[in-house]
Amino acid sequence: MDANDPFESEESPDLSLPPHVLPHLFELLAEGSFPDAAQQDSLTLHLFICSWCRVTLLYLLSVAEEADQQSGVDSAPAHALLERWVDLHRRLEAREKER
Amino acid sequence: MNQQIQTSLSAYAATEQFPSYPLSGLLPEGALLVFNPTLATLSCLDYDQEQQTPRLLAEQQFTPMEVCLLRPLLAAYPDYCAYEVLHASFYGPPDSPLLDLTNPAVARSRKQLEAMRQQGTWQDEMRPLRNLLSRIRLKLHLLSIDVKSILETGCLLMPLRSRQQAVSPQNGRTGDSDGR
Repeated sequence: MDANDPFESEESPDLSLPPHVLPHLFELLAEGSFPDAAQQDSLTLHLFICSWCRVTLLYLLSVAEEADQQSGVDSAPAHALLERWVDLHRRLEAREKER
Repeated sequence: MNQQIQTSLSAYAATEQFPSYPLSGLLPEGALLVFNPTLATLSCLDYDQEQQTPRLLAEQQFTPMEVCLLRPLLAAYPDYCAYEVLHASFYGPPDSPLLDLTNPAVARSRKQLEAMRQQGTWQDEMRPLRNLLSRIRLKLHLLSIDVKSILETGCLLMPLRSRQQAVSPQNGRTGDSDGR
């Protein structure tokens, strides 16, 4: 069993190693780099199947929203994005529980 | 502290029926949280290499209601603890066993919270629980642990980032997270 397999692992995987996408999420949110179409597809596909990375994204978006609030920047875009991912996460988790 | 000593500390805590939580990545290297169910205290222990003895770094006492939320939070780490688990633990019997996502009470809470979210009453329902979480957060800060909430999803234990960490062998048994 691969401990880093998002389907198989119950234990906390190392999200900095493939197939997980923590480094890409950091690049996206902290450095503002924008992935190309192929990278976006691969990132999105992984986020659909990996709860660990999805929750990490939710956490990073929460931090981004908090940082915007603290620095007086409009936090509405970060909040809207967070709401969308929270909604998606809830649907995916519900579907997972139905299985 | 090496792995062997940490295993011994954990084994000791387990045999005494004090649940222990190594919380790797949250606590200082080699430290361990031990929960005393009788006193409702959470103690942070490590091993003094020079004295060759366990050492108490910090300790906090929780109310019975706080314990209802504290236990699932600690048990879920490193994953987040879903709000439906916290909700079911909060409104369930105080001496109930630890609930997980497959528990029927948690499934009921999930449905209830989903309905409330759609009606816009989620915040009202969760207010007492979130107030309690705030108190737990303050106590856990003294153990250098933060409780981060994720919008309508759950809570996650994270390392406390501050100018002065509360728990370290250098600054003693207790201390405020910002050094006051």
